[in-house]
Amino acid sequence: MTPTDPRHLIGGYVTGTLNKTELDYLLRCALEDQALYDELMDQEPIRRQLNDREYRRELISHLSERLEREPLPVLERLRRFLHKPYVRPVLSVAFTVALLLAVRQGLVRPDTPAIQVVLGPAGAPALSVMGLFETREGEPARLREVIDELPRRNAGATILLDRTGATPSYRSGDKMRLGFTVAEDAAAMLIEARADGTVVRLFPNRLQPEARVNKAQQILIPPAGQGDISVDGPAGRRTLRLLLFPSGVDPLDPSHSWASLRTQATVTEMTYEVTP
Amino acid sequence: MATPELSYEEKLKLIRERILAHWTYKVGKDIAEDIAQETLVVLFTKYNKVRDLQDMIPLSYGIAANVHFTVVRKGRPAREIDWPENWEPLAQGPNPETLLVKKQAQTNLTDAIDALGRRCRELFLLKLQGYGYAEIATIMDAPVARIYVWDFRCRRDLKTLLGKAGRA
Repeated sequence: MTPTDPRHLIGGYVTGTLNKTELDYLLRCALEDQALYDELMDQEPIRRQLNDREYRRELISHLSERLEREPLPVLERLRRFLHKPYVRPVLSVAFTVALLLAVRQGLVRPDTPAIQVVLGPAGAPALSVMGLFETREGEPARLREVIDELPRRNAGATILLDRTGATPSYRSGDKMRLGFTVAEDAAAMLIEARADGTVVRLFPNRLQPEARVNKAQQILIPPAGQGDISVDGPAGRRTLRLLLFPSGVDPLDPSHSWASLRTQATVTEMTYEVTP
Repeated sequence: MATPELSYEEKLKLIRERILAHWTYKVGKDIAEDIAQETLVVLFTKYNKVRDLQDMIPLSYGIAANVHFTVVRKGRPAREIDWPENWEPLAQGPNPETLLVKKQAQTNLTDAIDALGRRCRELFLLKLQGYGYAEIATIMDAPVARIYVWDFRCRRDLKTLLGKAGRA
């Protein structure tokens, strides 16, 4: 195999370590390229000296001894260590995990630029895994109660999906972005009921902990800059329910019973399909 | 990438063009014409059996360097050069002067390599030991492309150091 750039072979020509194919290729190129020929001829005196076997042996011995005596500088050692094929992936994973743990522990806010830069748009699934959609104590039972609430249309509240149709369809693993808008200031809660009976709260979540939303504001889940959600979990029909409460009510406050909250809520519903 | 084989005449023609351009830059067109002409004559008459580029190009360089030495340093026209019967370019003969010049050149080269940075010396050693660039890249924990860059810089520095040694 001959490289495309013959200049890469000049070093080997000087030390006489090219094979015949490489040497033929280099010299043929040099005959057609004056600059390359000039460069080769400039190196010719050194090449001739290195062709002297005795001198070459002496030089190898001299350089070997000197390099043995002289330890590698610290920065060079570090550079070589970082270049090892396994080091960078391991360091990247370790750093990302540390960052995710820091977010989970509340040491770093998830909306800081550092997080957005490190995790990037593809970071949302990782954050999702680490608990983007949190679950509070006693919440599953309460959400099951919420999902049974009959829809009561709220003019102006709309659930948005990034796919169209009466029942948008996603395949497992597809990227998905959803959101909603409200006509009036309100406290919102978006939940999803899945085919296997589980109910997940999508909003508020770890990245968007505030339930309060302003009128005409479009809420994206996850928020802009955090990428998309990856569709996972059981296949089948899923129901999204947007519950709107008067502004100032905290629907996540466990001290308020659902019985008292439900009378104040309006519910908007939308379904979509997940196929395997 | 297969390239058509050059005939002997084509090789001579191209070598002449390269020598002429190379020496024109160094010593001017008139002397370069003499050097190129005389080199081709010697190559054709004395070394007619040498047909391989691997031998022809280094040999033509040796002849051209010798002609240049005679023409420029001794002030004799190229046609008056007496080529010894068994002349070899830069021959390692027993001549004490030749040996001394050779020894001095080797000392200069060793000193210049010693003056290079550690990375260059290591790279140089690995090349002298016969390693290819891919192997050197593995040993030195660097991409091959970076090894090419280091090699180029080291050769450039070595040339500069040798130039200084030559002037000293």
